[in-house]
Amino acid sequence: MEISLGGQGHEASSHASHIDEEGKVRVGMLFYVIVDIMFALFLISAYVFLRGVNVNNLWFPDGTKNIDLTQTTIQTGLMVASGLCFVLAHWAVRQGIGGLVKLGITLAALLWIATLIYSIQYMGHLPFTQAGGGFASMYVLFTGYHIYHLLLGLMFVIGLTVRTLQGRYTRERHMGITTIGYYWYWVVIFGVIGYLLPIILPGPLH
Amino acid sequence: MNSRGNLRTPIILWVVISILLAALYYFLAPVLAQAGAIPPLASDVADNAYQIMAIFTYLSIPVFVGVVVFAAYSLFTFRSRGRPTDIGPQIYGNTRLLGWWLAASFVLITVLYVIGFNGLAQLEAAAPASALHVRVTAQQWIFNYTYTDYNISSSTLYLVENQPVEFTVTSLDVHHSFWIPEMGVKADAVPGELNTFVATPNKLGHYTVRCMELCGVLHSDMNTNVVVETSSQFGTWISQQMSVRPASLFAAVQLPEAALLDASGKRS
Amino acid sequence: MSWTRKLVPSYFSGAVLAAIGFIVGSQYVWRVIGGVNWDLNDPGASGNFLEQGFLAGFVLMTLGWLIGIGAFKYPFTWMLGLKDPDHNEELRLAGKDAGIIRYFRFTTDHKVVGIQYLVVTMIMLAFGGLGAMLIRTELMFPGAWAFPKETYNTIVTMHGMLMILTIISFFVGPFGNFVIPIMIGARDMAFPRLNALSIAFLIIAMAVYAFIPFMGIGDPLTTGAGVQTGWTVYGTLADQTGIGVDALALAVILAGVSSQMGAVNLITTVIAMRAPGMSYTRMPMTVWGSIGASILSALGTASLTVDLVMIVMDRVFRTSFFFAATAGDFANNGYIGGGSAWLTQNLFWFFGHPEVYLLVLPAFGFVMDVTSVFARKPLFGYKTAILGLMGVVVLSFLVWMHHEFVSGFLPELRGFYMASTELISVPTGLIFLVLLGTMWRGRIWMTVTMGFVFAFTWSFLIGGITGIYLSDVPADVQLHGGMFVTAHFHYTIVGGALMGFLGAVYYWFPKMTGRMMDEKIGWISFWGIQIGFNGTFLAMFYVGLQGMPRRVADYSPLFAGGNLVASISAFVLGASVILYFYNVIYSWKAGPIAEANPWGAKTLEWTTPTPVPLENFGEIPVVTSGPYNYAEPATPSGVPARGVEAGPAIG
Repeated sequence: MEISLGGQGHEASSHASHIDEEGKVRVGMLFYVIVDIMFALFLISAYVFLRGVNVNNLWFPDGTKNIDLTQTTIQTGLMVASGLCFVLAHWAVRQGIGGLVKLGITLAALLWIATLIYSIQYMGHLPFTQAGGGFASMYVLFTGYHIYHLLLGLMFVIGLTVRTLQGRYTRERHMGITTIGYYWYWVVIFGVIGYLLPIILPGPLH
Repeated sequence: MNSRGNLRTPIILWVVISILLAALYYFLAPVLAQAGAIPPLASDVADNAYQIMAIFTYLSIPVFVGVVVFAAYSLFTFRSRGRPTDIGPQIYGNTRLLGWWLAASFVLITVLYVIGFNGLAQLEAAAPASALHVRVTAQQWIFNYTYTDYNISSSTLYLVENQPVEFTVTSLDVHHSFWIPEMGVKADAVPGELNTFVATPNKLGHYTVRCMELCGVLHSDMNTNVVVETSSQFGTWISQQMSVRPASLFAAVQLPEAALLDASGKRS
Repeated sequence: MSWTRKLVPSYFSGAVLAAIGFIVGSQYVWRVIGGVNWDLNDPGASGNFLEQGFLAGFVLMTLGWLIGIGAFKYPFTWMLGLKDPDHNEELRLAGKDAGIIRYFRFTTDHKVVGIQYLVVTMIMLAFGGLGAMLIRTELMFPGAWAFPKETYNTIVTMHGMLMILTIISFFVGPFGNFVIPIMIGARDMAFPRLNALSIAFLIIAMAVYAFIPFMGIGDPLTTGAGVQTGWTVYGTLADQTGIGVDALALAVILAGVSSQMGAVNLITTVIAMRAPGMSYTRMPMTVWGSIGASILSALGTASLTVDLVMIVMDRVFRTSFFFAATAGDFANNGYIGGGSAWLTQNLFWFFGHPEVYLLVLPAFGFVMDVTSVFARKPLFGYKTAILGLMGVVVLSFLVWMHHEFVSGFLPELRGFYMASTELISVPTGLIFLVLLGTMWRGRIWMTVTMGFVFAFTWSFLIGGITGIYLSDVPADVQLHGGMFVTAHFHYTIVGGALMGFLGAVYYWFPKMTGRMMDEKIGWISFWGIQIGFNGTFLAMFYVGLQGMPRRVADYSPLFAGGNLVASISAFVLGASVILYFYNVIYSWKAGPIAEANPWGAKTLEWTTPTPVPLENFGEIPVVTSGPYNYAEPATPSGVPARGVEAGPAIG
């Protein structure tokens, strides 16, 4: 391999000028979300599979009740609201409206935490236990997966809020908001999917 | 050491060795089969499977020999003693060769696929009306056979020479796999599912069933006997069984399928 | 530096906190929640609490480990909005001036992580190999004469799973980390902290894994200690087997996380951190092979994780992912049906098949690269090679149901999967074309590494051809579940990935350790490995054809002869691998000092001095040609590489 030296100047630092530092984080976060999407795809496939090969009417065994649509709508609503506030903040930072950014992120974070608390409470009060057949098993897995992401994401959420309130993000440099946005939007989307799936593909209920 | 090499030598070696190996296989295979290298074949499915494997072997020989010959030839002809003091020709590829290689690969796999597809069609042929129906129920660690036509259960499998059999295999607990090596019959026993396999035994004799899916501690012990007998012998056995256990006791023979049907009798 | 500063945080403090975490977690569940006493042999110890206690212990053990090694320091700094680490702190974290202790702690320098991976994966390989020797001991004679059957099943499971976990990491871990950044002209990986985290996850995964043989001893409800399902851990048997399966599940999930982290890191590094002039088509093929493997890891591992999570949920929380109906034993244990036994097969194999290509792809890339070096010829078809590698990546997701030909699941699809499986032999064949074409008319330098390349060619050829037999449905009906399959995948995995690994260790040893491995011992171990390996698995093909099932401790006397030959050969193989390991250890301490570029290769890692300085390059090089340009005489320092003369190409 032929190389030529010089032309770059002496670099003692690891921040070489040819490396797109921001692009690097963007790519990394994107790949992380792609990995997560694969998880979700497998969960959805398992749901569809079980629903399809359901035997013995055990998708919903006798006596079990279906999920409460009101509660799950509230839960998903909180999640979507969080996402919308984030969208607002993201737009605001690109316009350079500092105050709106802080407001948007803080609201989004509070709504995220509200969703988390509500979800935990919701999961504890399901009208069936996880031992209640095929649908119950899948539903508990989906909800648990979502709560797990809400929990793990708390580190991102708190960090982003603190750093936004510190005023670190400007119109020119706001990679944190962009890349954490990928994760944020994905958790919201998965929440919506988990909401819609039992509605689109329910089961016989008796 | 001649570092130029030539194409003729390896090609000749390739052709000659392939022919020799093919001849060796042709003469050795039946000898080895007799000596127990493969189970003694006793059904149409088994004959089919091993015929296909034989064809595959003939097709594999030139592939195998080709790669080995060219690699070995390069190793011996172009070897430098210790660290090389000069470099090889700076060739970056040959599009024509790539084209031929790809074409040959596609032709080869098409041939393989057609052969396989043929064999698969035979496998998937539905059971004729004259078939014997056997429900194979696997559980840890035993196979049980129920002749649904006669409402008889048995722990030894009795079959009739030249009569097609339709096996319906299921399990009561974990994954097992029902395999009669001599007859090429294999169907996984999956709890909650029914797995069908059709074959026709074509040789009288005693054979074995082995379990082919790890199912727990005594997986290696799930062997049962298979007896392929004449139609009259089978008939005798059936009437013996029925006199011992009349059809009215069918209700006592719990078929797992009952658990898989919903109230209207349909599989839900 | 004082001892406290050296050891806290480090792997030592991590181990201490891990132990505390395990004790706290397990004791809390056993005593406070479960109310059971300390004696695990007490018949009053309910199976379920035992499991939950272990699980809680393992989770807290992992958390304790991560806290103890200081993995959370930066995330918390970031989260609380504190001052970002400056360049000096980054250098400290990379192990500058830390001495030997930097190998025993969370260090971000990719070269340190590479060495850590090399040591860890070689230890894993040793244990996996030990398992293999135990298996072959049992199989030497008919009858379960060496171990009881349940113990044998656990040994088989642990050997299989451990080898898989080892081989997933043993190329991209040591060499992907140490070599690839230098190869593409970068100073480090894209995410150095993530890199250190991935080796930390692998280590704790192995700590959990080590619990398996000790779990379930004496428990009257289970049949023996450990896990007895085989590495495929089908949900039906896994839901029933001993509590070791929970340790297996968690260990594999953690190792999977490690692998996925490494995959994301590697792909981002290659996309974002290449030196100027290092276009995608100037990267060495090793990089492409590792990228292919990383794509498969990133996309496929989730399927296995979902399968394992479902198994644990079925066992601990009584969900019914894999229980179909209420018939049989499980009805008595309070399980409601509604699941499917086919679900576990599909989830497992959707991961399982891309997984095995993941194992061999880095080796594919490596052997092509190294053939070019030791034939002093450019790669015969760079784009062909990429087509081959990426063709395998894409197709590997479309063949998984060939593991289910006899399962009864969607038999109408068997024709499609037969076609797709046969099709995948085409890109694989391209690799052979590139190899053979590169060797042809080169100046072949028979180093031990080149020996392993020829071994790879021979072994993967046999493995691939026997795979074609298995891809044919009628033949597979007869061969599935038997030793023919076992021999096939050992030929591809051991013959492919392991030969590549052993060649790579020998090849990059001078750059990673500054010394050369002993050549004589190298050749002796090489030949011992070839004789032992081929003897073992050719005999195994034979008993497979005869009709021997897999995973059986006890077999019919029909198979005795072949098994005896296989076992004796396996002991030769084992002894030779031990000899190879001895060579590694001995040479590391006392081998001849290596020059900077002992092989006369043209890839970037050989342009650095040995030992490689902390940030790899004084100045980032600007690349002006491809990696196989042997016609160009000069190395970057202006001195011609030894043994490479300028002049017209011959012929």
